[in-house]
Amino acid sequence: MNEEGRQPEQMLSDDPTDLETRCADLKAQLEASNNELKEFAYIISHDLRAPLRAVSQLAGWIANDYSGVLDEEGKDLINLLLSRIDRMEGLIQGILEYSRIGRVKEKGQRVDLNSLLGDVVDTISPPEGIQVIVETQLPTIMFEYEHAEQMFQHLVDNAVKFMDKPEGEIRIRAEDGGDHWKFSVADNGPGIDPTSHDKIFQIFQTLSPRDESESTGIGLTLVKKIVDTSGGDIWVESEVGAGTTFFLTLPKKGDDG
Amino acid sequence: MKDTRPILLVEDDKVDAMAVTRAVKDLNIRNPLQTVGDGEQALEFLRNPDNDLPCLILLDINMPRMNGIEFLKIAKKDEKLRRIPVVVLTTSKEDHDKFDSFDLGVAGYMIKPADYLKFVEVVRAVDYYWTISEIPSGT
Repeated sequence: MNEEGRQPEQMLSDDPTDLETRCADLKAQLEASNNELKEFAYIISHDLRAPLRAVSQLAGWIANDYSGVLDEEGKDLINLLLSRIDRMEGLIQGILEYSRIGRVKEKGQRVDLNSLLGDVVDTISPPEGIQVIVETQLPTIMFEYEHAEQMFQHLVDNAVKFMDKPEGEIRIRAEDGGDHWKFSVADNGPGIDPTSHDKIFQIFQTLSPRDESESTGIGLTLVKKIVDTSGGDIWVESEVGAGTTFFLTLPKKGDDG
Repeated sequence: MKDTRPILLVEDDKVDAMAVTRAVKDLNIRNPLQTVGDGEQALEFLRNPDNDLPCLILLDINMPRMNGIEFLKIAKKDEKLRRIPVVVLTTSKEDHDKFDSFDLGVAGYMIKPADYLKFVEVVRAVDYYWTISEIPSGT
């Protein structure tokens, strides 16, 4: 931004029409790059998916039409092929969701997190032995519903998915921080080595081999982007063997309460 | 299908065309299926007096040379072709494609599901609808 050694105050003290032109230029640039991103999302959703769909159908037809000819090994190979196609679909879907956050200006609405969390837990339907406990009353916040849902969905789902104990506990809390809400999602699962705490928020990073858990590694990246765009913060406290707690803060907006 | 005239499939992707062919076979739909690869070939087929006019056109949107929307613009102005019902079969969920298609008088707009079995259900629904619905005769 700082061109050829000019000081920021010098740039600001310029002729106001100059400043207006600069603003208009920047706005045009921003619009252009936004359009590019939109185009990119379309290419990914449509053009990349079409051949993938074809591969999936052809593999399915081979499995079907040649089931009498294929031996067990051949069938295994086709099943591997189909599972990799599903994984690719998941990655593409992840990129799309990621690019949608912040690009589309969604209007906030009143979201009652108590009922939202109930729905989220129903959707995940944790296996027997894993309990999701909401320890405090949760607030109603002004937020984009789908984004609020995605945040809690991914946090709770991760806790359930990686739970390594027969008696799992996931505890959710909300605290009023004055100008913001502070939420925590804590589990008694395996915990995460502190050296990996930054890595888990990066796109498509997973800590377990893909063949052990069909996880794309997009979830926490989406959560972080949603929190970042809304002006909040997210961090993790965890050690191997000591469970994991995710904290997130969201600034309060007009109608919260 | 209400009658036994052919169905014309306008589709450039070989595998997508195979999916329709398989679905038609799996569902025991008796109408012959004619396949062409783009809008220009479709017009050529429809204007060739040696060919029977179809009772239904299944139309893809994204195609080379002449796409589905361009095809509709011409076909819906052609007195001999304008009454043949056209059902769009596409992967495009874009609003502008839906608006353009219905502005040009399509009879339906179906998104191709990725899963073949779901795709068969789409073709089954189209077939069933055009078994109940009247279809204008070719003359």
